[in-house]
Amino acid sequence: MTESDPVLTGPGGAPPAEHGRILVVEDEAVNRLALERALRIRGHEVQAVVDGVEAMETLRARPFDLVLLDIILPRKDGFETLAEIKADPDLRELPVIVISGIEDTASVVRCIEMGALDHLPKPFAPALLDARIGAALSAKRLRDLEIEYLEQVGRLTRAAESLEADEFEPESLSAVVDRSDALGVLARSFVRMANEVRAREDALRLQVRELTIEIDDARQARRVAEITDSDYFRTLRGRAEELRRTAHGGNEPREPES
Amino acid sequence: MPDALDQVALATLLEMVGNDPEFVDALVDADRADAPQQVAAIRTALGEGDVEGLVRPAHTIKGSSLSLGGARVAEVARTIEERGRAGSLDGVDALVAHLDAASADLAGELARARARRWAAP
Repeated sequence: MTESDPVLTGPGGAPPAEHGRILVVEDEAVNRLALERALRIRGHEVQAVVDGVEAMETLRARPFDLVLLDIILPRKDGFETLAEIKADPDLRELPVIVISGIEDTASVVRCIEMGALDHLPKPFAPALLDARIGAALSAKRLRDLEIEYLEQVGRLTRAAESLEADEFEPESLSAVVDRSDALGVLARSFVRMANEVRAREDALRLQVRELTIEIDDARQARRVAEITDSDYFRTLRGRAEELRRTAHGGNEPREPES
Repeated sequence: MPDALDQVALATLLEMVGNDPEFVDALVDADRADAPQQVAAIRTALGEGDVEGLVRPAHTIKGSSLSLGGARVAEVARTIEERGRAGSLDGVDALVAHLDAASADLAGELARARARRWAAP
């Protein structure tokens, strides 16, 4: 009945402003089926479960943008489920709208104090349903963008640290340089400047190596000159010439000059 | 005492599910299938003197009936739920008899509304 509902349009035929992945946690069949149907025809992706145990299993298995949570549930009630969501680092940012009877103010207040974003009274009114879900999904989108932005600022900071340690890899900023905002401009400038600095360092290293070779050659030539200019070397050279002559002419070698 | 069938609530439900009368048929059938079990659970709790056991079935009947426009059934169920929360069985026997009567009235009203394809009379 609800599984095959097509994704249609929003109220009045207009496309919905915000679509989301919504988990409905409601044990009453009539309200669960009605809510599932209402959300699907508004373009949302919906999954429905009947208690808090199933809700936590489902939330840990796949991502959602919003939870509609009834308070009175079998096995694990809405309070326990909400507390578990808010205690889980991977789920605590997920907005939760509490479903409640219109007269159950005390429970709603308690849930909002525990971190629920809002509440939706039963029986559901279409206009209120649209307004509260639209606002919750907008808030979730903004929060997701904020989390992503902060994570990418962190990447840029870590890139600066790795540049200091001469371990910077430009690929570490590939997701940030693709941004179209000021952070993307900053990341692109950072990568360009880091590449320029690296190119200059490589060129300097090459120059230093060439200079080192020239200095080594000059030093070696100077040492050769020092040796060849010495009296001892001249004496040796004279002895060597005499020995060569003797070997070729048969003359006795003379005593070297002192 | 509220009307057996709140036509405004029924119209709201119809609008919420995309003005699909067949879907409202299915919701009413689901409620009619479930309601006797909830009433039986209330009777069992009453028979066993289990005051807390009144709360959940009465709460379920209240929530479902409100969505279908069953204002009178919801009102009686709400009273039973409150008695359960307050830890009192006083008058619950009579309230269960009222619940039966209100449920029978609601079933008749819903059958007539279904014949009109959920349009107001």
